[in-house]
Amino acid sequence: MTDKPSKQPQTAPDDAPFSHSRRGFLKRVGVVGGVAATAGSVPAIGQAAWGGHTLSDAFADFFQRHYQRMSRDEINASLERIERRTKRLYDVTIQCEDSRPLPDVVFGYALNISKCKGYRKCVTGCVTENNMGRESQTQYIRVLQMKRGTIDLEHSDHYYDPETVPVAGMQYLPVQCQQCEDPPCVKACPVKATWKEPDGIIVVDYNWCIGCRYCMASCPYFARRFNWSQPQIPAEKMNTFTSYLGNRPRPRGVVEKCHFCTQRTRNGRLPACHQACPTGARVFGNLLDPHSEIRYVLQNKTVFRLKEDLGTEPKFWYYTDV
Amino acid sequence: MFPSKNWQTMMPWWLVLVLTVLSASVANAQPSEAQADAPARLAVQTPFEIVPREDRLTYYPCMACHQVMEVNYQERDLAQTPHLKEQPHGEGRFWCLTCHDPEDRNSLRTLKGERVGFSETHLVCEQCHSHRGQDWFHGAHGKRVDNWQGQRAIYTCTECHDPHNPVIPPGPPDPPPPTRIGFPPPQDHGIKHAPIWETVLSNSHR
Repeated sequence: MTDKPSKQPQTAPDDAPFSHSRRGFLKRVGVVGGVAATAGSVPAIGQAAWGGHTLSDAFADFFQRHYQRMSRDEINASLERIERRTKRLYDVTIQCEDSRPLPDVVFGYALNISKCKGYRKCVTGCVTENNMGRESQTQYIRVLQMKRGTIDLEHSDHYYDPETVPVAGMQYLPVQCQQCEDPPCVKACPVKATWKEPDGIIVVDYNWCIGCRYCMASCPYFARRFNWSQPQIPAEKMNTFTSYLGNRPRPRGVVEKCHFCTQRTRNGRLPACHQACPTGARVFGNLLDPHSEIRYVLQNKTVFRLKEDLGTEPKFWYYTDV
Repeated sequence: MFPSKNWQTMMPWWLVLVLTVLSASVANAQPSEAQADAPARLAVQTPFEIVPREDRLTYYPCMACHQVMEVNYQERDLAQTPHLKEQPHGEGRFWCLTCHDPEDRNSLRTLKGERVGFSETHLVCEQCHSHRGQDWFHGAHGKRVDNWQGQRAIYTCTECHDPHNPVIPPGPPDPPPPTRIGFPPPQDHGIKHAPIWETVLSNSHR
């Protein structure tokens, strides 16, 4: 099926498959090693190869250090490489920034399941905001439909598709990354490519991830997604405001997840799912601020967390109107 | 009202009060004196900005028509009125002028007769739905927009609820996620979107 024309507009003249794997890289280095040694700074070699990079960018990307070890200059160089790669792959000029956690902020989320009616607007808003692959239909949020009055996850259904929601006798429970305080995915990662930020968000360094998917196996909430293919994003649908740990276009073969829209929330804005929710079921805020809405919900409503017995301490609460 | 043990902790509040009164007198701002006979315009300070609604209302400067019309206080059949055919909210206990101000149609009114703008509808709704109003004020009900810190904004009640029929009707959901290849298709719940295997075969899939 690789010979079929892709709907994705590509600047690359040849239709070479996107590759970002180190094995593929090493193979190419073996083939054009002599050229690479003499012309390492020549960017014209391999238009769509090298994962969409130029050769020099692919070279720099390969030797890029872990996010937490990079200096400011290295990060800035990496951000520029991301912008150049997106320009080459998707023909879109994006702005990629390194949004840092705000001081004295720990993010928390609450969701009113009395108000959630299962419209899935949060899913759509998330896909649009976070530059997720349209063809792979990657989605961070699953809206579970279950019998009213139960939290029976095993018999819930997230493929529901009636003409109108809510269906009588059903309730809806959106599940996304719960941003655990004691995250099992972080423990499972063999290369420390995912970690908990000071503001409580679990992030992934997409450049450091080796794609082993141990974190996906360890997550009790099925919150992580793997890029089996290069994400295909139409140029006009690309969100051009991106961040390194957030919604920048991901390479193939890495794991991604909900990151509470770091590019938005670390700039004071609400996450895209919150913005998209038509019923106002979602509450987002700073857990350390005693006057925040999330603290009001936690203090005055009956809240619960999913799979609390596992001890992962999610920072995502569900509550009802009662 | 003031517990004696808290007296010392209350001191800064007195200072704040004195300063506020002083600054108010210096600024010489007394807007309420101008309309001594008009009903008080109710406005409660909120810690966030309410997204204004007036410019998005279809007929908004209501007085454009109503200033040349005589006010008819007589309760009558809604089928004869131009705006609404029925008003399910309250199940017949309300009449237009319960919430709309008869003299100033650009305003709503509370049961006490205070005037309220169309963007501050919570002041009208809260008279009955006080628990919802409290939740809305503190953040457990209603929808915040744009920012979680800094310049906060919030939708007022009528942004989501039709005040004349407040129950939100069911609507269509966005499309469901795909099943993974090799997995059984989801159970039939009246599926209207194309099955995933057709989607996959029709597109290039690396």
